[in-house]
Amino acid sequence: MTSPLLSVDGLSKHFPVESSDWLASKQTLRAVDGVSFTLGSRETLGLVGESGCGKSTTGRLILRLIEPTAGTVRFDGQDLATIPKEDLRRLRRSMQIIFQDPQASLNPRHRVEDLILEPLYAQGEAPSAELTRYAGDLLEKVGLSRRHLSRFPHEFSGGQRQRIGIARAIAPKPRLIICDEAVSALDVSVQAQVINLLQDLQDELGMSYLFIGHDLAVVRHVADTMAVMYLGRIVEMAPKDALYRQPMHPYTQALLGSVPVSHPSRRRDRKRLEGEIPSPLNPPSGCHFHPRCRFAQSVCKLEAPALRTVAPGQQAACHFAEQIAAATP
Amino acid sequence: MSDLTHAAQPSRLSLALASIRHWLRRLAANRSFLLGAILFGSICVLTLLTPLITSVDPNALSVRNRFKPPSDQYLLGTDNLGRDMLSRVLNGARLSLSIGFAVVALNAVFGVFLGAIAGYYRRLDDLLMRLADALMAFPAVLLAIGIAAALGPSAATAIIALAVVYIPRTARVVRASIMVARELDYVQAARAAGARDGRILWHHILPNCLAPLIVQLSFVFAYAVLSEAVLSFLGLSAPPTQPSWGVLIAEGRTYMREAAWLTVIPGIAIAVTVLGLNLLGDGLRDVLDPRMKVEQ
Amino acid sequence: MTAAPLLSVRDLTVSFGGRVTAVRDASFDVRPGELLGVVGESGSGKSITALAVMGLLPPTASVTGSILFDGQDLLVMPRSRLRKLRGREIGMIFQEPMTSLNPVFTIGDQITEAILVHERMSRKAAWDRATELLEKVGIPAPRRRLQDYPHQLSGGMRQRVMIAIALSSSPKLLIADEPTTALDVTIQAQLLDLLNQLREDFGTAILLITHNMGVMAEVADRVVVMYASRIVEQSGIFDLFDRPQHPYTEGLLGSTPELDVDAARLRTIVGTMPNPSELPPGCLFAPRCPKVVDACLAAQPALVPVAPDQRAACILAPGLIESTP
Repeated sequence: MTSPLLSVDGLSKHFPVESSDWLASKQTLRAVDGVSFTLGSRETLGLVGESGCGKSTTGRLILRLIEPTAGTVRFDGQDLATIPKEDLRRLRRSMQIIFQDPQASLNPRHRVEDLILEPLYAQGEAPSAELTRYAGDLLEKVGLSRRHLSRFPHEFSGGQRQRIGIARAIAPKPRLIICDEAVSALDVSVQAQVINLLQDLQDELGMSYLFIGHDLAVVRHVADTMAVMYLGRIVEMAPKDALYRQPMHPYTQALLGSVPVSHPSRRRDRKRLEGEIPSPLNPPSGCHFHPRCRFAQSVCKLEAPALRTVAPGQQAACHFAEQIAAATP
Repeated sequence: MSDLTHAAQPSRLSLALASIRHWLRRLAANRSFLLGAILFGSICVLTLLTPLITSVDPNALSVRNRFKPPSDQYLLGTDNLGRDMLSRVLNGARLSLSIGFAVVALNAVFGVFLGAIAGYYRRLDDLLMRLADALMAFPAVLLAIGIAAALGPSAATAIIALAVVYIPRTARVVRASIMVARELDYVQAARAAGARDGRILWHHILPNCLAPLIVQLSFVFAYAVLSEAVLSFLGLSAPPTQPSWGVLIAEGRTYMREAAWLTVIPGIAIAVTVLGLNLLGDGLRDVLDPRMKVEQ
Repeated sequence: MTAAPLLSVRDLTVSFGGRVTAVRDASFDVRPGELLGVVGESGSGKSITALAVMGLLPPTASVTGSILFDGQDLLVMPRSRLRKLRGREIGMIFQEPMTSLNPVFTIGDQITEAILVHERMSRKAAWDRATELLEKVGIPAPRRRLQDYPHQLSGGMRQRVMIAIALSSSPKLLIADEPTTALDVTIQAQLLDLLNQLREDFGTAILLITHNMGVMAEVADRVVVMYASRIVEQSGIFDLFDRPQHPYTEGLLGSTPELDVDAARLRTIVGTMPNPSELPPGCLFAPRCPKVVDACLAAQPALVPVAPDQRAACILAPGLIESTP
């Protein structure tokens, strides 16, 4: 039994919130609150949730772009917090990220060739004719032309810039790529092209993806396993089919119910989720979801449910997951 | 096949040259920059060509030819000791401009370095900025006077004093643009790739902060020239044997009524230099505005 | 029996500086009480079309064609009458409620201002009316909310306030430009339900602009599909999904991942939408079209009826081929 590629345990990030009123009590923004999951080779874990759920922060914590407040991240068995800094730096070769905003993710002053090879230069490799050739190969792999190597980012469309970002991410032959809303800013037809590209690359190069997104249909299409986050916590985690066919957490059910239908004939009078998403600065006590949950009981307000196995292969953070599942048709 | 396309790839050198040519064209099209460049450029050229323009010793006394107004023989007249004003003004320019360059150079090195650390490392930021605040609380000229008085008058003193006065300001400008750039996605991408801090600052962040820095430096130059004039006016800069514009004004001050040209001409020289630098800075700021850069 | 259309746009063409034509020969109707969706990707011209109907284009835009609202042409109407019409008969909501609401005034101030512009009544009456409106759009504790400032409300709430303001004069037509794009999916669902509810309660027609086919599937009665400045298809919502007539519509539908369909790969449309300044000859979609034939490059196909209540700008529309013996 080989250890998983990525193992996250109890990951938390609390931001102290400064207030200009120094008499006011210090508030903490619990952006990520005790997140745990594992990811194996060649797998894709989809991380979904709405605003304030902490999915993007989770991605950055894993890459250690932000320092966690608590919890461990193990990559290839190594605890990223305890390994020597130089080792961490070299390990970064294997972990890359693709960003949401095609505009901000590429340095406007660098040419495409330098942009793509940056992960290699950062690791100490020197420019060479061979690397230039490699950069050209990467561009072709993502569907652009070698001629584009000497151009600047602003000469490309959003979809093309995203492809350049992908080329940069695969340049150091990583084992893990965090896709942080990588397709959210693209038009539907371009999004489809990029999604197919990401899948093709995974088939060819064998890396794992942590695919972060807010569009359930997109994430479900790409992922093997899905994790639903709400206000900093994972509320449900299951293989994508199981999640869709039998969501065990009331929030997941509500989320699936809110996704726009795929055909007008499926319009139905669905029970919509009421209320607003609470602010992560002031999350409800106990189970964060209890104010909006149809099935809430008094224990839900007092005790935060742990993420536990509620069905084969499925985990949910709800005190009454099994009862709810049994009662719902 | 890939070799063919490889040959079609323009070399880095030709790309760099094309880039430079492009920027020069943009600068030349900006009126403010052009005018500023002409004004400041003329002063610089005159300064460099001083040995060709006049071979008169700026300190050569000629009591017989005192207080001669500007004429064919003495282009800018003579002063109270018969010294040739043309020679004194031009030599004074050498001193003023070289002090200006020195101050700018120190700003470029230390201002950028300190601003970069303050902007990039949050923990050092507080400390450095409080120090900067303390220094900036003093009016620039007063601070310069204080330092110069403590170190004793000399050109080096003037340079150090002015550098100390302006470095905090430059550092602030650099710090501001670094703090913005630090959060951008492409910088995060470089961090994720394992780039060392030095590389991130030098290769990724600073090039995008050049615009405000260059503009700031051009203004620093102008202030340095002006402030040096004040310092030398007060006798805190180079000794009087080395003429500088401030010294000339100081000396001519007593004779304002009889020989106005003794103060007016160095004054005009300062004004033209500072105006030229300001126009240059304005023009640079317009051309380097990142919003326009998109059309590159 | 179809009632006379409430809004009738004919041959609308919008260009900027004589060089870029953002909308070309757009013609469509909005019937009373229906929800017409305008769907397209960025650069399709859908937002410009909405702005043209609202009369909110910048002065550099040149507009030709006609926009008939209740029989009156909005493009030739004197500005003073247009202003009265806008806000009273035609309401608008935009994508970013934070910038549409003035941050320095309370919600109550802004709603009552909108009410008082079009109706004379006492401030107290206006305040009561505002409370009523907030209730109608589903904001809890409406009386208290009137005292809040925009930044104290969430995105979904602000959008509801925008709808309340737009509805304050009981308009016949509501134009919504990407109203849910910036919202979370659960909030979007609430808002779409609200729009449907308002249609039922007030009979307001809605012109909804979006890039999201799912939103169309949820609420639209009829849909207009735009591509690179032209309308390429117009169909009822069911016809659009079951019998799309234009290859671009098919492509869009195929590119959208669906929650209940397990597809290994998404069907994509090759290439990207052309630049408005570099349009190809003939059919604008030809370079990307899987069905393209030589005739497509000859001339831009006109938007013609190809099936009952379906129009398409494609010479190979399935409806046309079926009906031709």
